[in-house]
Amino acid sequence: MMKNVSVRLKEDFMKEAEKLAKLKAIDKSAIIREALEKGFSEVKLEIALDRFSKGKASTSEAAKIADISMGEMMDELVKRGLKQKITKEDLERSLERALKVVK
Amino acid sequence: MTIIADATSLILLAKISILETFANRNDIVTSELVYKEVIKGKEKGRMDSMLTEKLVQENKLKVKTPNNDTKTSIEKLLNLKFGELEVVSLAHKTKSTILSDDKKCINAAKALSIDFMTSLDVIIALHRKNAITKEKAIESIDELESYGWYSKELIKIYRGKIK
Repeated sequence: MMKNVSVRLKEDFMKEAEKLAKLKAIDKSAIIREALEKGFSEVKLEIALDRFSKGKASTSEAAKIADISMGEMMDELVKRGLKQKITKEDLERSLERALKVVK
Repeated sequence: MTIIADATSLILLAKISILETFANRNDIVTSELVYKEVIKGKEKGRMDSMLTEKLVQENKLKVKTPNNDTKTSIEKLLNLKFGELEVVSLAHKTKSTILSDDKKCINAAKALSIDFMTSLDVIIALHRKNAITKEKAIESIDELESYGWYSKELIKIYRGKIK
């Protein structure tokens, strides 16, 4: 179900929208809706990456915010050089444990 | 001994092609939510999603749901959410080892004194148990390096652990 919303947009944006709508032979509101939907995914991803980089979100929380799979989120993080802040001190005894547990 | 894996590790181990070897030799469990988080990538044809699904179908990777009371108390204590919360809750309840490559999950394991390991540790352990060759271990570390999940410093340390 769709809902109506009023939004103030810049004149340039409206002119562009009209031009693109003509090229695609669809109405202006359809092209604006398409742009909003695509832009919304970007906004969700940006918020997710920002929260992750500030240590406020784990990888899965970030994936949930961006509404993408964990694998895609991990790819987005490494693409932007956002490494896990895991240090050598964190992993001081992890290998010792792995050697006991892993067959 | 049971190992409770989160999504980051399932995906990284799938990416470097040692998840199947690891699952064939070990008792690996993941949570319902982690499974869903990984499987979501199937729509886009992700290899990690398809391999994880195959391992579950073959019962080489088991999916369990944590107890709600444990989840609630850990959530309040550590502000964890989603897959990580379920993994930590399962490991806490069953006194199992966590396999994670997520900093927040590792911090939670440390806070609750739960044993944990990472994909880097799995590579070295599988090699020392003769489950993978030295060449495969080197190749796996190289692949992790080029993916970029870990710092160059950690990659160098773990490369040095391959005998």
